[in-house]
Amino acid sequence: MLFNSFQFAIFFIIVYGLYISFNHKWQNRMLLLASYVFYGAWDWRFLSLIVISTVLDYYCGIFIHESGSEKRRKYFLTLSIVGNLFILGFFKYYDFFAVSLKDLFLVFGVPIDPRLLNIVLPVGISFYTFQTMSYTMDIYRNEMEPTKKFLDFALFVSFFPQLVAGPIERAKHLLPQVLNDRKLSLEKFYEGCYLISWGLFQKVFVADNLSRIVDPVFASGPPYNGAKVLLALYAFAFQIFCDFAGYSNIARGLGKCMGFDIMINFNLPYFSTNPKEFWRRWHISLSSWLRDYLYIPLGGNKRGTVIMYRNLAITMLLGGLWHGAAWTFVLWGAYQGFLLILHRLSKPFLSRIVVKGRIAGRIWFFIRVFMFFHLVCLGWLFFRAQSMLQIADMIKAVIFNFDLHNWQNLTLILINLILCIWFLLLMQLFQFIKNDLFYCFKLHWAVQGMIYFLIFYITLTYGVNNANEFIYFQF
Amino acid sequence: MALTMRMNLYISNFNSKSIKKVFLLSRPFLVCISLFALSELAALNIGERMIDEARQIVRYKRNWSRQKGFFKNKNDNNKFCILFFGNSTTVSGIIPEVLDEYGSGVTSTYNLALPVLPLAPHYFMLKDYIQNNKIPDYIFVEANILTRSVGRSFRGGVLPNYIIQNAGFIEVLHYVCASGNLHILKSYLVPSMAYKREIRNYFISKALKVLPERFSDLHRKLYIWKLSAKEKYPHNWDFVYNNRFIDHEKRRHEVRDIILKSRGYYEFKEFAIIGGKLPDDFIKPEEGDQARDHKNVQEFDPFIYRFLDLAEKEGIKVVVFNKYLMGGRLKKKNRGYLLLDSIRSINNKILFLQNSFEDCYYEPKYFSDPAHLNNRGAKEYTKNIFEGFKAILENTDGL
Repeated sequence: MLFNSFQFAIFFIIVYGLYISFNHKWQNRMLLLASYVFYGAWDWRFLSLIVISTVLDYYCGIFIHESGSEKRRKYFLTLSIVGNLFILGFFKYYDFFAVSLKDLFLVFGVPIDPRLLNIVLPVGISFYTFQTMSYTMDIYRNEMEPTKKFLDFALFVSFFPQLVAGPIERAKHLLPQVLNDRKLSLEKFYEGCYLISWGLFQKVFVADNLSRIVDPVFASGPPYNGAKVLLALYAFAFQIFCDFAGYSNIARGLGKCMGFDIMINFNLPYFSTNPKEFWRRWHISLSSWLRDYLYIPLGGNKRGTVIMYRNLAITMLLGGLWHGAAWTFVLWGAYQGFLLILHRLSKPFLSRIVVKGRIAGRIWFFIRVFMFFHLVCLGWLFFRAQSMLQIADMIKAVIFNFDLHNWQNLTLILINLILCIWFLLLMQLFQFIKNDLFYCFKLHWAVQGMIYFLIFYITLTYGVNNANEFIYFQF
Repeated sequence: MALTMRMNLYISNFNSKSIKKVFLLSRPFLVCISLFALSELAALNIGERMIDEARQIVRYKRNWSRQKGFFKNKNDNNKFCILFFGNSTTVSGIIPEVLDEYGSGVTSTYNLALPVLPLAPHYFMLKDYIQNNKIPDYIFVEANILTRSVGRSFRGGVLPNYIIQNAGFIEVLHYVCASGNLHILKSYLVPSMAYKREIRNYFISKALKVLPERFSDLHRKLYIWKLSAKEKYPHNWDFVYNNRFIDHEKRRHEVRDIILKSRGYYEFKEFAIIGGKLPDDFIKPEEGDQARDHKNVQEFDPFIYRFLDLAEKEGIKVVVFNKYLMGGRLKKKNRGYLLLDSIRSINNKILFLQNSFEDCYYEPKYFSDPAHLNNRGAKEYTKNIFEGFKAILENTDGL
């Protein structure tokens, strides 16, 4: 059941109707049932994985909290982490590692034939396993107390708006909202409607239309036209952003309508001037999860420069692998780690550049944004390419085969790209200048109305009608 | 409203202050709804101004069918009745009067082709014709409509912006239920969706008038480049561009004149609403004999057996002809040509208009757009069809 489908609209109207009619206790029970129905609509068999993960972390949380000895606490924490990572590793990475191992042995001339499972990847497995792990880890760190209410905990794990593609909520943020009475208000309802509309605009209009530019280029074989590859990369940068941010916004909007406050996952990431800032703006829930539960436990930046670089590299490599079981994702993670390390190394030199004057300062800022955007786009090539060979061919094409001979075709692609992103860029520019994602709500009501109309009209009329899956579902 | 009231209860007790608050908060949404309503009115208006040929034809047929005065049976019992079935290429390509002229007054021809429609409505039209008129002697069927155009047969017959022309809400609902295609309903309720292309062309043509010449030149170049790249035919394509963006009004009147004066049509009953439900012999897509592998271009429409059986039962001779193409188009694109053997394998009594399969390519000067003949081209094509028909008659029993 996709957010951009008619079935989901019907589903949500029914759920919402019941939700506002029930009291808190029954709201939670109904939401839990709705979440299981929502997930079961994909494949009911994989519901068992959610249930296993829920039961495991529910009891581990309680045992960690009640255990007197540090050894037992560690034991239950390890059980929770190993259990979740086993589910994730088995269903997501088993085949990948088996094939990689086979290739590795083949390099040394030893043919092996590991048995492949060919299991369909359960939707959203990376998201909910990380979410439940944060619960036991927070209890272990004494940052929160476990809940005794199993059904409420189960709702925290499987809350349908953010179940399959995040944001990866923290227990200490979402669980209290599940446990306590939630207040509904018209302001929140309208904010939720705005977020849902904006998210649908990002997904149905921007991302799905851009996929028509991106997909043919990546589906074709070499020789590539460098100019076309570059345009496809620009298009993909906005496609993946709008696909994922669109989902997050819809999730936040649905939550807001029901009185939940789901965390912001994207905060104008393409206005970043460096990789550190980028990761504070892009997929915030994952990057902060990796920072808190991986980078800092590894030592963070407290144990010397070399260890810090090592930690950055490990964190980003695993972050890359989290996105998918393929070497292209590992390469993407490594590239992001490399950018972060490079940024740290070059910081002393960069800080020496001082640009005086307001206008000059702004121009310098936009030059940095522009340059870093291209570095991000290079990363998106690793992320989107189907093989290492394709990455090499495409980079070669951009450098050595930048052919503008077929200018008509390139102009049409460029016009389509601009038509898809102009409104998004305009809105984001205002949000960035005012430093407020909800700037729209502070405008005069007539202007607000016009903006809502444009969002609604463009989505309805020019959006892609057949409900396409969100890219991040595969992760 | 009920939801808003319910929400309001959460804010505070129901009083004038809270009503005011609800109103104040709702103002942007009211503006949004008002603008949306205005935009849809504008879309309807633009849709009328920029109406395309096929839509015009479907609309005329529906109007006439409702007025009950459309079909004037020019057929008298002494003449040989010939019916043409096909798509928009047949609509614009066959002129009954011209064919009757060549037939020295012994034929009575009707062009019953329906633009964009698959075989199903043609089948119901033939059935209806047989029930209410003298049984035709020959039916000419364009090869293309015997095939299943991927996606089209699954839509209950027609593409959304054609199906909704002058249709009532209940009628549209029937289509939606029959086809499972919700897009039809969306197009019906939101004219901007149905007339997307018309709105785009309207604004482009308006913009071209005010923009500096270099922009309109660039637009013309890009449009014609896109067209010629697709058609692969070296030619001056300005006429297509002009038809679409410059002389649209003129073109619209031309089409209307062609419909009114030069073609004979039959009453077009909506097959989905006969008796308030789908007719018993309507085949749902999943029930069709050929419903399985719809990737194969040589696959036939699920209605083909019913259509041919009906003709055979009534003793009507079926002649399959091929649609015309512009000279430079690749021959392999002409699916009808590929279908010859497959059609033969289905029914060996079917006759073929041999010359339409061998030489049905025309110069661009005979076209009003890359796919459809103009009046001059239609005369040529009708003449060729008649020549082919004559050859058939010479080899069979004659009229």
